[in-house]
Amino acid sequence: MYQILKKTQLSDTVFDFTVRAPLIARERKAGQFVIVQADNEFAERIPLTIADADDEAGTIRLIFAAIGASTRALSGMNEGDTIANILGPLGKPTHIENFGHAVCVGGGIGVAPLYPIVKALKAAGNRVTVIIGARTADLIILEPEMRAAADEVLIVTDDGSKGGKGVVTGPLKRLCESDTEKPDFVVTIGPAVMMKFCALTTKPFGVPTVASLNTIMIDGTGMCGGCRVSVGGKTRFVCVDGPEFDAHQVDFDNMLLRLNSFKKEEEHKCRIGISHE
Amino acid sequence: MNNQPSSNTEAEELYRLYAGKELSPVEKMKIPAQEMPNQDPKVRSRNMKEVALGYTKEQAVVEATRCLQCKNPPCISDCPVHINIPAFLAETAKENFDEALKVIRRDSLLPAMCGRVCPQESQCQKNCTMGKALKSIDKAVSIGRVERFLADNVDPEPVQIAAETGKKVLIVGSGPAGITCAADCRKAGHRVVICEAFNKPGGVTVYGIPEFRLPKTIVDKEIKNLQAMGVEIRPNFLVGKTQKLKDLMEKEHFDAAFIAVGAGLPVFTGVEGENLIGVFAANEYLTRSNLMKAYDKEHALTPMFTSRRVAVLGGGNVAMDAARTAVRMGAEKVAVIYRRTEAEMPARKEEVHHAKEEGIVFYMLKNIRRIIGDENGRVRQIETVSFELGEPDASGRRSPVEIPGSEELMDFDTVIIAIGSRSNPLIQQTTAEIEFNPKGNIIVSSEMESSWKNVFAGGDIVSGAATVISAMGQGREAAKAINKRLSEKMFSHTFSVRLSELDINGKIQPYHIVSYFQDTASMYLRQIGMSGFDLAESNRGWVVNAMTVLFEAPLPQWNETVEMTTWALNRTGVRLFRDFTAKDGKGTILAKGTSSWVVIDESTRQPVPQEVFGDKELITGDPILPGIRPGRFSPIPEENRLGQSSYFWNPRTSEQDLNRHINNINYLISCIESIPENFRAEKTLKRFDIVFKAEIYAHQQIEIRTILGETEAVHTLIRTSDGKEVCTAKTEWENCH
Ligand SMILES: Cc1cc2nc3c(=O)[nH]c(=O)nc-3n(C[C@H](O)[C@H](O)[C@H](O)COP(=O)(O)OP(=O)(O)OC[C@H]3O[C@@H](n4cnc5c(N)ncnc54)[C@H](O)[C@@H]3O)c2cc1C
Ligand code: SF4
Ligand code: FES
Repeated sequence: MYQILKKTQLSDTVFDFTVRAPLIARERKAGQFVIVQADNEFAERIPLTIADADDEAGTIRLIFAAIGASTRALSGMNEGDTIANILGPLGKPTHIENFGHAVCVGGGIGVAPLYPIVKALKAAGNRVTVIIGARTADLIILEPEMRAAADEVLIVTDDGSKGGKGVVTGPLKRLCESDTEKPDFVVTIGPAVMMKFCALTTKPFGVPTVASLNTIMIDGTGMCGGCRVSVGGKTRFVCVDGPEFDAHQVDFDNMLLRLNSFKKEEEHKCRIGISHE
Repeated sequence: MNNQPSSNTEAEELYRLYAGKELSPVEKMKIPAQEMPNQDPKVRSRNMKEVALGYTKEQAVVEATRCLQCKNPPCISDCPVHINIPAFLAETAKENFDEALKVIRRDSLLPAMCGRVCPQESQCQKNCTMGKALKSIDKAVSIGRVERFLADNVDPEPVQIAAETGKKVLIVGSGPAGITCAADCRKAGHRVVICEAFNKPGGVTVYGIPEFRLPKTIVDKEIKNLQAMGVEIRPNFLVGKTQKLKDLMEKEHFDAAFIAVGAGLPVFTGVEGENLIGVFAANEYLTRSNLMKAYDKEHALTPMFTSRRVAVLGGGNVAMDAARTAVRMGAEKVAVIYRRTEAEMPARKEEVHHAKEEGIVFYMLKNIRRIIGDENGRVRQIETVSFELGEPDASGRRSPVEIPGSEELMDFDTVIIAIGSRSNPLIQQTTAEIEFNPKGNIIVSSEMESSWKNVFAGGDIVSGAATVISAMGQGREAAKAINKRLSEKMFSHTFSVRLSELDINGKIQPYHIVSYFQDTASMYLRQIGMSGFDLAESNRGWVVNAMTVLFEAPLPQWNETVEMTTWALNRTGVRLFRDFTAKDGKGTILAKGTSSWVVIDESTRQPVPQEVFGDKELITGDPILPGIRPGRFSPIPEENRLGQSSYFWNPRTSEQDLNRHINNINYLISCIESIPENFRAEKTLKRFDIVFKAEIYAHQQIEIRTILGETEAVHTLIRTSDGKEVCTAKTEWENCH
């Protein structure tokens, strides 16, 4: 069904799969995601954003970091192998319009889901600035693609091995403070902590900011409530009401807590995973 | 069944005494009710295997022998699908097990499931005469257990599938409703495709109801049967997202659809602390365990929350399943917290009993107030408040009233919420054609048809969270209606006519193109007489046309493409309706209307009187638009703009109009026969050829596509929703001065 046509390793832990999924390729829009389940019996259901799609070829591109047991199992699959289940496209597409100056902030693996949004924003006529943040130079992904798609790409790394040393909020704040480059719209995808601080950075400037949340998910159809977050004091389901929400309204602290719901259990799983390698 | 008990000495003794004997009611009353053999509570609370082991043959026969064979059996009317219960019990008592199962399967497709999960004590066994006579519902005949015995031990007859019809039915959702409708539609020879959002089909029976209550092998067996019958199942297909319902139906030419997407949206309480770590909707908790097998910690990659003390909110089957799963996952204490008393708990009685045996504590007349977390955001305690039963209200029900000051704190590290579920809004959000009620359930007719023609719905999405048996029953009802619809042949004929066209002034107007379809259709009907209708047999009438067109936009210009979408005839009493929409090439709606036909008696030239049609209603009076002007060929206001028109006849028209109408019909017929030679027109119509080769069914949508060419011709193409071209027409004209 969902055959892996191409597999590339983008960094130590980051993999880039091109997978056959014609229906999803046809329907998907920027910002939407899929649920992937490597086998039919015991695999976990993991949400992955659709990084790109080719309607004609009937393929979608999934970029993910092999960090947990399930993503590691997935990364062990090869070209020609078949992923048992892919459900999608899920979630609401990103709201795209010509805002003026759009700033897209991606951290780590969050750069992958940001890519189709950058392309769509550009196509809608925006001036697009991309800010990429990573721990170190080796972990930066999709840089050439981003450079091709956006007007400007700013890079920061924690260790200064590439671009400026620091975190994404540095350049974001500078843009917000600038008279000429103040963003009209910010979209941020990455670790919850990073999104939280992006939201805190843009809030005083009143810049509309959207964050794409990647919570724990089971079904991805609104059935389990496992993906719920608190937005503006209301409980919302990321899989159907999101994944994008007004970043200034999201309760990131609660989301961070909930992301760790299964930490204890996962550690146990990870050990099992390692012993199998 | 692998762990079924092989013997039961007491039952064997009773079997020797009573089996096959003619017994009086008094003797029957003396036979002890057969208990269900179960796994020992201590053992079963550490495994996921089925709790109830099933009757032995002797037990099934003895239990069936207890049935009094009532003259007016309450069990049949209390069964949601009206299984002939005394009949199958009688066959079981005679050990005609094959026959017994056949009786059940006439009304229920899923006896292995229903025997296990039906709330028998509030359905068939509720008013069982035996239970009443012995003054205890526990002593009613155990209908469900005998049903389960038969389903587990008898191979059903192979299904007969009718010859392929070439029709296609789409089923959305593979729960009990979807499975049943799929099987019944397939049996009628239609191609059936099920789209299911999850990776495994079965709906709630796979992701919700746990293994220990309904082994997945049973659901698998039903699914395999479906596949063996040739039903195609597409997993990972979320209708509305993977593809919208309308696109799917149009692209793949489905003739009918059945929506059975269940009620999967969890309801939360809204109390403080609900988003803390350790609070789950029962759906999440159960899905992890059932669908992803998280209980199998050795193999599954999906984690299951490790709990010591679990509070489950709610009193239904979902709450019982969650609580009992928590026990099996190793929790030390599991408590069910319910706002009312045990008597009101909607859960199956047997499950409550089993839960208690497994050490689950029940706190009745209590509700949660808030959930309190520790410094890491994990659940630490809950605050509850107690209720007492108030004075009985008008209906005699005593509703719970909060006791002031009864707040109390209890230590828990996990809270599972099982207070109900609503329907998932996805289909509603993505399918404008279907009407929903304010609760989010699909509104259906008595035949389970939604507001979108040929789209039916059933199960929890229609009734709200209910039961497997009612979902199954609705799937059956819908299949019956679909099969009927898909076999209603409205007309079937081949003919070809040549027709000339002109209007009163001898001019051809673009709107005539729109008229063509109507004319053609009515002439066509005239040609074929009544064939296809009930009236065919009466052979005493013809069909005349009264058409109402409501133009909502400027009429098409030459060179524009006009697309007509119209339903094949839809019969209400003796009136036949056809709704249509005409769009231009850009998709703008040009005209919408309804054309209707009424049956005229050939000799009296009057509408055929009601008696002829028995109880079918004859509507006299036009419900569509009042003030219809009868006219001839130029009904449309000069301006070619917004306006209303009709021609021919409608039932309220006077005798004079009727005569005029009949003249019109005759005129049309004469058009077929000769092409008038002497008309003045800017453009002269050379000919209008139309070839009908039609088999149009009541369920089909007809698409009429007309391309108005500048100089050469008008092409008309009529296509039915299964993609067949049933009519092609070409009109040619030339400029003349
Ligand atoms: C835990 C639990 C225990 C229960 N116990 C009992 C019991 O003991 N006895 C009893 O009689 N009843 C019980 N019920 C209720 C019973 O299971 C339901 O009433 C019944 O399953 C409803 O059947 P259905 O076919 O309408 O829908 P479901 O069984 O809910 O199936 C709907 C299916 O549609 C799929 N779907 C949803 N949306 C889409 C979409 N857009 N595209 C494609 N597929 C879609 C879903 O994934 C699902 O598989 C229980 C329910 C639960 C949750
Ligand atoms: S009500 Fe009870 S005793 Fe009477 S026919 Fe039904 S099952 Fe038999
Ligand atoms: S993932 Fe289950 S409701 Fe969102």
